Amino acid sequence: MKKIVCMVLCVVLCVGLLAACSGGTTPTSTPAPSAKPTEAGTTPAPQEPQYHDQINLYIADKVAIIDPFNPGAQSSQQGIYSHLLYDTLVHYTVDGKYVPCLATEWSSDDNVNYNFKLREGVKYHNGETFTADDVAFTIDRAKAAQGTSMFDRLGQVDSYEVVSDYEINITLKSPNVDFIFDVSTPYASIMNRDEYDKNPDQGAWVGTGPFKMDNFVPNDSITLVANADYWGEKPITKKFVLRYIAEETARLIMLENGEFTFADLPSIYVPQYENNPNFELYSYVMDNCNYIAFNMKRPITGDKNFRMAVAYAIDRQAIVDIALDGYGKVVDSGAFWGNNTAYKNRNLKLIEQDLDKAKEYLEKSVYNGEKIELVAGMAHTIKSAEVLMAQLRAVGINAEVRKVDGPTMAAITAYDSNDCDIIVGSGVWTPLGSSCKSYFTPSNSNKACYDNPEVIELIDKAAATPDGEERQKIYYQIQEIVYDDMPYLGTFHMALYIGAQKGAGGAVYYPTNNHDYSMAYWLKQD
Amino acid sequence: MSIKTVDTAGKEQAVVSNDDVVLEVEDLVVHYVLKKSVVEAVNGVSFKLKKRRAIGLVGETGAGKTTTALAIMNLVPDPPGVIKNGKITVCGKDMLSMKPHQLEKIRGKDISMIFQDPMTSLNPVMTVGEQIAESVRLHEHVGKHEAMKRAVEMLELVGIPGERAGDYPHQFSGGMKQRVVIAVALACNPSVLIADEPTTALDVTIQAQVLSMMNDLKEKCDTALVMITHDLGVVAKMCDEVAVLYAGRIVEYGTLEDVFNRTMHPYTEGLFNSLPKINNRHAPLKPIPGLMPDPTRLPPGCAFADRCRYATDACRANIPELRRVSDTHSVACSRYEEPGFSIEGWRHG
Amino acid sequence: MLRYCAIRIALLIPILLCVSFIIFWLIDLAPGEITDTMITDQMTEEDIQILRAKYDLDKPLIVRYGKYIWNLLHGDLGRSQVSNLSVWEQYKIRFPFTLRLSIYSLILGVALAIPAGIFAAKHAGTIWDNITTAIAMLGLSMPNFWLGLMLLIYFSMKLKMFPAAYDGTWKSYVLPVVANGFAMMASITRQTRSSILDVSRQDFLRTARAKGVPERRVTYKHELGNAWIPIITQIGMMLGMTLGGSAVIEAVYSWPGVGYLLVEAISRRDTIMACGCVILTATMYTIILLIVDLVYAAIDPRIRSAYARKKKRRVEA
Repeated sequence: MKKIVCMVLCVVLCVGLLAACSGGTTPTSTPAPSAKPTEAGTTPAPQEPQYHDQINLYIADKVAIIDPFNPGAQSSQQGIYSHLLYDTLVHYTVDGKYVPCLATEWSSDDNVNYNFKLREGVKYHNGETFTADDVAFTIDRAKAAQGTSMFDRLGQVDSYEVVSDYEINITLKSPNVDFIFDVSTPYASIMNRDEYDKNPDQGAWVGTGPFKMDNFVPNDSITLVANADYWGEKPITKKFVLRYIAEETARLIMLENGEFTFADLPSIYVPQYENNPNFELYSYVMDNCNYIAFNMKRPITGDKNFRMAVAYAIDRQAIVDIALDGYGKVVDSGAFWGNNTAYKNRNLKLIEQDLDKAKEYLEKSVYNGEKIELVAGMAHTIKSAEVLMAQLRAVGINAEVRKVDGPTMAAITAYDSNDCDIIVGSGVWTPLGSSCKSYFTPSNSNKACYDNPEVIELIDKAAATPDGEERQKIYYQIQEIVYDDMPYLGTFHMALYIGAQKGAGGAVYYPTNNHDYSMAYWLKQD
Repeated sequence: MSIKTVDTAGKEQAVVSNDDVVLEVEDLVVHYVLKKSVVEAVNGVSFKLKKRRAIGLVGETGAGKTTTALAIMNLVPDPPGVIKNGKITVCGKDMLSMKPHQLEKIRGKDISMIFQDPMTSLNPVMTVGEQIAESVRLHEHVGKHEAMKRAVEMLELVGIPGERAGDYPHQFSGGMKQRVVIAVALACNPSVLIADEPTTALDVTIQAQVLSMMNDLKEKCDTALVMITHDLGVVAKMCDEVAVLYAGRIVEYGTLEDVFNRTMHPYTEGLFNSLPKINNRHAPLKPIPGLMPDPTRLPPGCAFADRCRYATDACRANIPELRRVSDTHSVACSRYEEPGFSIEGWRHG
Repeated sequence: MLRYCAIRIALLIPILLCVSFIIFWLIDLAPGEITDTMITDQMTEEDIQILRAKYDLDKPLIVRYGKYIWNLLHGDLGRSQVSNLSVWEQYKIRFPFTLRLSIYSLILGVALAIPAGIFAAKHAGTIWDNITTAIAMLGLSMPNFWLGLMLLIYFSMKLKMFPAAYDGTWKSYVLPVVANGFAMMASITRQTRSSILDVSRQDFLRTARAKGVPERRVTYKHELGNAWIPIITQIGMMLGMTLGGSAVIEAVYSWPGVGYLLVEAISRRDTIMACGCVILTATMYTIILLIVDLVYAAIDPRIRSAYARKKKRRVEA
């Protein structure tokens, strides 16, 4: 528990510090190179600091191709390189503020029609000037790119009107107060029309961001060099190499040997780095929420008594201890919601383990000794499912873990044809309350097949309600209803750790994993 | 090939004189030491061979002929073969005390050997020319081109067209292969040639050709010949002297005439009796009864005693020594200690 | 000879047809489609249909396969469904890395294995033979990812002699070549030992010794010269296997070779890419086996004469 408190504190400090550092007109203004949470606020910038020219960054997934309009190119690391290569219209800071980026001003009266005034004098890496036409191009391409993250952000645009080179009006298909958030994610980076016309395969190699593409080896590495003509604050490091390494041991050796400046640490290695004077350790808790989803359309899991039995049978801390070696945060509310996602209802009481009650509910339920499959598809969810299996068996539920790969998981749990009993999964949450939509309305992320018209109506209502008390009321209400229906049980939020060389820092860690390394640095040690 | 009479009139009856001796084997003992037993393959063989002369080593399979030949080359496979005792001198050089690199200079140059089966005696992946030339290059230190020229000459000498030097062994018939093997052996003009059953694997008509060719070459190249065979006809045709081996010992040793016309040892007698008679084809063959004793358990006395119709208890008790009966003739049989003893079997006519 | 080669190459066509169909069929059978991981909650039913149509998933298997084969007949291996890059281009970029790794490993393996095998055979039954054979057994039974990791931990982490991942320098070749070469060495050593033992009983070696050929030359020229055939077969198979890419070694050492392409393609349900990899690998394998056959003919005149009708070679004398 102490560990978690510490960690949460670190994250809070980290967030606070970054919040203090950012703001102003440029999103990436992180002047003081001091981001290590434990020393937050205590390390002043050294006199005439000497930096290493190159930073080598581990990326956790292969990048087969750089093209945000290609559905096959979706990589979990897209957010990381997009921060370096491109800019978005609006920048979203890690503490939840919107600051100007390619757009200097934006406004909307009705959350359907948005007006953006664009920054002048911004140049693409190929020398072209950024104009409203590039925004139009990006929207056009995104709308036709089903299956991409670009489509998810910009597919909601109904039409646009290029007012001038530096002004554009965008009309959405339906009201969305969170559209500004959508265009602030790196998945709505603005591409260059000319480059795409000239070079269809490599059009996305050119952006307006602080780094330029130098070399790309598919599935292996991306080499970037600093963009000397960047319109915003110039990056500190001259060269960035993002590299995927499949083998965990090799990755750690490379960090150990200084071949990686920053690299993700599996939780089991964290103690080794915690008090190591040669390394910095960064961490953050993800918004994503791990969950147990009950298929509401199946007879046994559709029975509330059975779900209550499971709720009383589980010990979340035990799951965290085994699946994540203790480096995770047990959910702090009965609501199924992201860790720091807005409008979280913290009044809903978490059901604590009580085996007698579990057995009592099981007795009342329709359950009669049938085999219950726990479907899981990722390393840590499989481990969670295994712990869960033991806990369920202890109360007399004949649970069985079924391991599947990604495409299989998607196929067997699709909303229309979901035939699994219980899915042990990890769900994506953003800082926005609206990200609950995936889980509570008909969609493939709705692994519980949860379908409550009242909730759907409230979600639609929330989407059109501006931020404020009114909106909070709606989201609280949604959470209360879901808490009652109990299609999901939130289990924990993952904590992630990044090991870095001594003196390396400047990265902004977002709970959505779209880290911003544009101001990362690596101080030379004496 | 059947034998009835042997005409030795044409053969030179030279007196043994040490000056011309090119090969001398003294009291050779070779054992094969196996895990559980010891095969006593050769147990004290001695003989001498002079320039241009030919000696036949005769005996059944397992009598120790091939082992003797390999021992002369110092090629007894070790392990398991061990040369326990003996001295072998080839052209005045002691084969058994020499280092491997010295041996390599003598083998093929002073003494060479033709093996029993021409089918397997040639390296299948080298041309016959290369195989002949290899020997020439090793011993005469000539260039590739020169050596190949010699190889072609050698092939022509053994009656194979020179242009076939580039062919591989599988492209030759058995008889041709044996000619090639002979060409390989004679390539460097050795003083001594050991031929281990050179014609056994060939059919009869080819045998005669190969033998007469060997005879010619022996004359032409001034080579002394050790002919190992179980075929008395071959011995009669090729050899000046004969040593009859039984269970690793020489039981009778003498000139061709001594052994063929004045046979003394009961075993030699048995060998001749087991051949068909040319003037009486219907006469039944008289094979020697029984089998040669197991070489891992040789009897204490005469190894032939159990098969010998003249054997006495004394024969079974002591191993008979090879004793001289004339200047050129020796026999190892205890019965000759009794005055007046003679074998009855094989007689002229 | 040419005719023989032509027949062998022609035989490749039905093999490739079968192999490619099996890949199409298996990936179709596997649960999940390439689009499944792309579908998000923001997409309408219509959007999903548009997406599936992009990958031809709205058409039956046989139509997709027919289209693929038609393109293949025109020499077009198609484009990866994931990256939309040409399969051939991707393979072409990565293949040289696999080739280098294979060739260097093979050179290392053969250079150590042949003398080791001969050594073991010459000392057959002795302690030296047992030691050599034991090392070879170890090499065969040790999983190469494990050896790879051990080398990584020792030479890269402890001694810091070699980089842990491919970085373009010669040093980054050392560990993967050793890890890959060790298993090759093991199996070639065993093969060499048994071939030499087989040949060592042959009469022509005695002939060679009897004509005064030095023992060293007897071993390398006469003995090895006749023992090559099974050894070459083994080497050819090893080469064929590693040229298909060793996904394990490639993963351990972040080697940008072709092995990972196929594994990755299958896990992403990228039929075209998977099929392309398999076709190219199968072709490569066939060509290597053909080369091995030609090498047989080059080293063994008996096999050569089975190909060519009696063709007398004259000696330039």
